Amino acid sequence: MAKKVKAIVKLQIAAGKANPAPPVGPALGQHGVNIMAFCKEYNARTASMAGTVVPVEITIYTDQSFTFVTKTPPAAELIKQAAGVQKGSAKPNQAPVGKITRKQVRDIAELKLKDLNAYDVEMAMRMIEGSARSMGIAVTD
Amino acid sequence: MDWIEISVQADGEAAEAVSELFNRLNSRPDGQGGAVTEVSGFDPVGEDHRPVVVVKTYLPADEPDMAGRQREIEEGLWHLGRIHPLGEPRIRRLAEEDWANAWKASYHPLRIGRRFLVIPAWQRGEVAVGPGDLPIYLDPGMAFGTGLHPSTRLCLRLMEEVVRPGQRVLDAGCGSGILSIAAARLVAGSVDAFDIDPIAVRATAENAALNDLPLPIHVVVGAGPDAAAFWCLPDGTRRTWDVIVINILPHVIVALLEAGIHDHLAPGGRLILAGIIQEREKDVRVALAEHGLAVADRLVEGDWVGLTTG
Repeated sequence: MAKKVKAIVKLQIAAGKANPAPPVGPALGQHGVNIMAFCKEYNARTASMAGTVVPVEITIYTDQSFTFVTKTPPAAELIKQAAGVQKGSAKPNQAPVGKITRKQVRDIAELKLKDLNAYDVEMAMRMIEGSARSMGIAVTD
Repeated sequence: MDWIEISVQADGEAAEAVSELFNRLNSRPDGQGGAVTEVSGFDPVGEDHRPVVVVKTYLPADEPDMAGRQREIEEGLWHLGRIHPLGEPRIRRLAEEDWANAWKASYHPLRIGRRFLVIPAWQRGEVAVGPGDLPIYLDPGMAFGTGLHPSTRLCLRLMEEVVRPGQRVLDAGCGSGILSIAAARLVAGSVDAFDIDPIAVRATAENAALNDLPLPIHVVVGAGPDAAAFWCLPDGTRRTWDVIVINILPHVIVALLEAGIHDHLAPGGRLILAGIIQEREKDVRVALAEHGLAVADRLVEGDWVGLTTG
């Protein structure tokens, strides 16, 4: 069938636990998406990943049909793991909480490359560095 | 329970940062909360676009210390705004809804052409179906084809004119199965369908089952005339159809023509083509001409075109 994209919605949902409460309900409901069809399919596909948060990208078409793909773990999770911190800084411009090396940035960028709007690893690295800075995590050589 | 929605417009890199902030400050143990990133601003074909990115999060308004968490998020956004260009945060209160069912409000019975009446499955029995009506009961789900898009409506209108009782019909790229069901309602002799997407194939079978059709729809997962078993009779001769309906994007229609889908038309058979944005109509017409096919009819709805060959 002819598919014309209306919107792309990205969410992070605990594997196997999608339900119609926010954020899923309002995020998809405003586009007329069959929410239970999404929850059922998402939970079925992620059932084996229980205990992890699985990002999902839902493409909604102009007739309110949709498709979705699940993604690699969030960049922020990978950055926190690499820096060995529990959470990022609430004031990243004033109170840094950790640091990661450029090698770690590259590793994360390579893992995330297929899910980022980046043409190459260098561009993906810049995005990961930006995310790290936004979390109050410095990048060192 | 009411909800507080906080949303902010951001570019790609900033959206990642805002998303991280929302996930950090508003993730709940039950897996709810977190960030929603919405990209819109696509062109009518859904290809090139000027993306507008909005990141949102939802806070339960009546939980203890929610005002404190909202303030923390707003402060976080202010700090991020010093690093990335961000839009002004928008905050609004949402009333609790039955989200599982609220989406259904977008669907109503839809009259298309002279006789087709598309009825959401949950309204079966509530909608008067006249003696001349051809009802199509649908449960809108993941597969394309709800009747809400002009290309689907163009196909249905053209099918009313083209499909005659007893004819063999092929629905190429069947999506929800709406066109296959329509063909069966027009008392086609047989209806075959394929789609590259297994979810669409399942949706076609499920929607067909909702309709108590006078004949079965034979639907398979396939990509086009190269999937041999579907395209040949048991004796190895080529299968043919009187009508082949293709409601896919122009470049896919052109690819199917190059793969020889029109060779599967019976003598006097006709193609019904839709999913064609007007600015790309020329591509399809050029491909049709290259394969010796002439356009017989043309319908337009909005920016979209439906064609038949004759």
